[in-house]
This record gives sequence, structure tokens and C-alpha cells, in this order.
Amino acid sequence: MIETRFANLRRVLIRRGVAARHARRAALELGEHYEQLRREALARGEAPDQAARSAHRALGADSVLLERYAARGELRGWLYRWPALYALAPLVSYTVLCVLLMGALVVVLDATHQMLHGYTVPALVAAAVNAAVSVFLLWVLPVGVAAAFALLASCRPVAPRWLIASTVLLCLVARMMNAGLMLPVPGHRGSATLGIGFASSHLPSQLTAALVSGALALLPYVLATRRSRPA
Amino acid sequence: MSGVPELVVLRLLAQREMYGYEIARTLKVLSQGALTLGEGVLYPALHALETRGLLRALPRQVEGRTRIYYRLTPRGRRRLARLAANWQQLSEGVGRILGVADHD
Repeated sequence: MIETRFANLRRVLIRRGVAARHARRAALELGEHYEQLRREALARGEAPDQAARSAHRALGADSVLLERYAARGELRGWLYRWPALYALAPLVSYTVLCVLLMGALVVVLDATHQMLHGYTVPALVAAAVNAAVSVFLLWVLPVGVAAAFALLASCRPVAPRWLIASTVLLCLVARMMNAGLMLPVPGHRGSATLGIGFASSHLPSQLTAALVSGALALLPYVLATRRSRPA
Repeated sequence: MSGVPELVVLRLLAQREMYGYEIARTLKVLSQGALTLGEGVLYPALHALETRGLLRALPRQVEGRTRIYYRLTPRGRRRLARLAANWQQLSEGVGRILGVADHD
């Protein structure tokens, strides 16, 4: 029960905007404080149950503790202080992951070129690899990154407007991108390409695809917030 | 009374590092019950002082549980000197006013 009280306190502190490290430490310190108060009561000769109740009372109401932490601006997390940054964080993360993955693909291509010794990969396999890389970079990765940030938002003080903005922005950028992988063939070392382009004729289809992938990414958030909502 | 919790906490920690409960108890004992810092004031204040670089938090394992000790930093020591001087000035000023009032 006592662990539940401090674990709940930590969760609510984070939801109220207190930085995770302060919330974690607050739960730890208040738990330790409670234990000291309980021991003090036991030393006074109180029965264990009574000592636990006395310690809870002495510690004060959770609502008061929450207010005191929330009132201190310097203990707020970055999400609370600069919520607009949240709209950019998934896009930045996706870009960094894309660059890292492209770097890894170039290394793999180079190694494959040396291993194949002039062997030509069947066209069907090459097309399948190209499609897999494209689907992963343009669909799975952006939806995964947006869903991860959405889940993070479900237990943090992020207003839904920032969450939706960040998801739509990321999915829209992903829809405007193109990626491909050409496996090495004799006389060609192979290539990995990643680009971004905009064509007004494609805008309606890009927007539709962005909204579909955005809705997919927000699904875990909707489920998580529904589950945590009190009955 | 703003600034008093900061002053007394920094003063206590200038002697040795302490953890939250120990700070609360020592304050109560030293002030003979005149000054008590509730948990709702003490811990947020400690966190804020740490964020400002005046204290350093040091987690330690004690009897299988993690206890956070606080230590004064050099910056905290400078801040304490300033706060103590201000407090001295203020209390002397108030003392003089009370003295004048007594004479009247």
C-alpha cells in the first residue's frame, strides 16, 4: 500500500509537469521519510498498524505535497516549460534515426559488394529489399516514432494540440520523402537513397496518407489515456 | 519570512551532509520547536536548491533503501554567507526598532 502511495505520487507529479528526476526523487525521499516516522511511532510504543497510520498522517495529504512541488517553477520538466518543442521532438528523432540507418545501409552495401564477388542478386529479391527498406523508412519508422512520443505524452503534461501537431508534422514529412536501396550488381556498387520532395499534384494523396498514418500512431495514446481514466 | 527555509537549511548543511528527515528533525530540535519545516516545504525546497547548484544530492544505500543526502556546494557556501549577513542586518534593524518602541 505504501509503495502504491508513493508510486502514484510520482506519476501524478510527472503529469502535473514536475520533471521526472524530481518526481522520482520525491517519491524516494517521501517514502524514506514515511519509514522514519513509522519507526519513530513504533519506538513511542505504538502498535504497527497505528504507527503506519500516524506516519501517513504526519506526512500530510498528497494534495498538499503535490501543490508544493507544482508551485516551484524550477522543478518543472522541459515538456511543461517549452511545450512547443514537443511538436518538433518526434521529427528531429525521426531525422536522426533516418540518417543513422542510411549510414548503416551504406556500410552494409559496401560489405555486400565485396562479398558478392560479381554475383547478381535476382531482380525479384532486389525489388523486395528495395520495397522493404522503403516501407520501413517511410511508414514503419515514422509511425513507430510518433506512437512512441504519443505514449510518452499519455503520462506527461503534454496538451493534445501539441501531440496532434507533432504527429501530423512527422507523418506529413514522412509522406513527402522517398527512399530506396539498390543492391550491388556487377559494375555498380549499389546505392541507398533518401530524399524529400513536394509536388502540388501529389498533395491530396500525401495529406490523406499522412492523416491515416497519424491516426495509426495516435491509437496507442488513445488506448493508454482511456485505460488510465478513472471509471 | 521568505528565505528563512533556505537560510536555515544551508546553515545546517554547512556543518555536514544530511538527508531530508534528518534536516527536519535537527531544525526542530535546534530551534526547540520554534521552527519546523513540513515535508511539503522541505523537499521541494531541497530540490530547488539543488537545481540552482547550491546543493548536491548524493544517493546512498542504507539498510537496503536509497537515501538521498545533501551536501553544500562552494556556490551554496557563498549564498549562505550572503543570506546570513542579510539576516544579521535585518534582525539588528528589527531589534533597534523594538528597542525604540520599548523606550516610548
